[in-house]
Amino acid sequence: MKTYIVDDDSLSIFLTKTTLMLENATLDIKDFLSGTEALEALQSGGKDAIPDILFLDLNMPGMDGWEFLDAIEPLIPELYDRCSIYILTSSLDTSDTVKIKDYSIVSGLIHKPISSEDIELVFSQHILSGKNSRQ
Amino acid sequence: MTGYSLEEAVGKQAINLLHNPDTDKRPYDAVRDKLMQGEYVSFEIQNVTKNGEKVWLSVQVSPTLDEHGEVARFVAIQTDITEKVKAQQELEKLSLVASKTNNGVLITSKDWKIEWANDGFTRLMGYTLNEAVGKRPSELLHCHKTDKTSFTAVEAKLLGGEAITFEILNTKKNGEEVWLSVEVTPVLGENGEPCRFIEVQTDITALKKSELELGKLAKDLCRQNNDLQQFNYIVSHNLRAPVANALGLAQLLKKINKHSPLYDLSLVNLEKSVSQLDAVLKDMNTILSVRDGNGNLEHEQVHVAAVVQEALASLQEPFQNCGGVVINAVAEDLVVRANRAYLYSIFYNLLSNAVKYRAEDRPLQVQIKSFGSSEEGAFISFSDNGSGFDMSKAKDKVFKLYKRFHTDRKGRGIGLYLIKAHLEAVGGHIEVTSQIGKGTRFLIYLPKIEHENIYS
Repeated sequence: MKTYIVDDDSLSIFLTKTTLMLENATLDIKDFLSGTEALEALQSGGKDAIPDILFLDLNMPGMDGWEFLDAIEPLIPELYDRCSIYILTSSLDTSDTVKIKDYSIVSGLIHKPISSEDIELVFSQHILSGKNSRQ
Repeated sequence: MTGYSLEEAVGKQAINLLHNPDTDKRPYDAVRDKLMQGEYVSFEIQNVTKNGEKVWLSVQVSPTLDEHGEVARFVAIQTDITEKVKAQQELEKLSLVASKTNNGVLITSKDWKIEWANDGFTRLMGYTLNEAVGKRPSELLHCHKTDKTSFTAVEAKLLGGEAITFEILNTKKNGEEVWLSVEVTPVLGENGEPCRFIEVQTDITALKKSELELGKLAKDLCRQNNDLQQFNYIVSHNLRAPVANALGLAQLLKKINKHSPLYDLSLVNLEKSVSQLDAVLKDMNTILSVRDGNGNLEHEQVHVAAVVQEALASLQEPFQNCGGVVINAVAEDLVVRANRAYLYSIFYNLLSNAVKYRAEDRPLQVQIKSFGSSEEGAFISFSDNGSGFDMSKAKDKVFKLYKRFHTDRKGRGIGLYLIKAHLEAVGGHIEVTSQIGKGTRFLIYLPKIEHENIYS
């Protein structure tokens, strides 16, 4: 299953990646240090570049998580049936939980550090939703 | 005037026709004997018109004598003086009230020269009637701190014939400052234009002071609230991030083989996370030490050029390493009111930022200039030819804590925040303009040497 991690903190990427791999060694994980990099990959890669799961950090310099969500707006028709986006943030700001309701493409919000239970839930939700990157 | 026609009046005695039970006949009685002896008399009397209205008349009576020297006829000329009498009564009432009141009352001519002042004015401002007469309130009472805009804003209304109220800072004869609430009523002449002004002054110094104090308190509270929000932000974002990492890595370590390279790498990363946590805590300490000093900060006279030199000296190496040049055009004699340590920290931060965010394709050039003077407050500009940033994206976030605009350079997003906090602590401010690929210019304002204080 194709998975993207968008996070400016390399330590956090290491942690998320390792935890994901421990749960499921068959995952195809790509990481991006900024929203801009991930956006470019999605824009230029066509349908093949769309992951099943995208973990998105919120607080990043340059394009932050919210700005990334605004920037992928034109791609949503293609993303919607294929990709589950999860916010993965260290922030405990409750306003974020409210704000994700404005973005229908966002499937949920996870507080860092990601746990095995979070990962299980994400994958079962993704399968239940019928979304699939190989459509 | 009286309402009676000639037919109605003929054959009646004026007394019966015009007097009523309320008429005070004394003015007439006093001159009656004179009149009967054939002398000319003049008196004022309140009469009643046909329809019952009271009317004040000035009556001039000339007796006409017959050939025997007896009074044959009276010719009485009546003039309606009701308005005049009313106005006089008003003025008497007014000055009675005005002289007793604790408020200062001035009557001025249309060109503002004082014609009359009450005792209240003397008690309030210290000037006697004699000292005040002929002077304008502005020349007598204003000082260099007086802000006339509160008056000029409503002056047109007054000249249009309306009463106005404004608040103004004045000085007493002994130099003491006093806040007055002033009510000016124009007295309109026959042409409808003001011919006099009546000015009533109320001492509102105590009220004004508590108002200003309250305003200051509100400002402090607002700032502290902003600090708290900023603090909340730090805790929820920047403190939480390394904690989350450390927590996750510790959980990870339990699950992986102790003898694998992944275990060692996780351990190294755990240490990094804890170091980051420590760095955030140290930042918080630095920020709080700026904030603690706010308000009771040591302000001193600082030679700007000397502090610039000092900051340049400590950054000599990084400038040399990148081939950077500094053109220092700060006026040698410029002195500002600031905290020396803060000023150094501001200059150091701006200059090291210039090195950090220089453009890779051209040698760094920084220009430092100064404008203004110690008396008026000074502007100091730092312009570089570095990489710049997108103003439209950065907007108001440039000086916010932990906001960063360069993904390719290291930084924690604390430098500009500290500069702004430092400057605000000494009563100054900072602005920035930038263009991608062209450079960045910071403009610092530092307050003048003599800081005016309303309480001094």
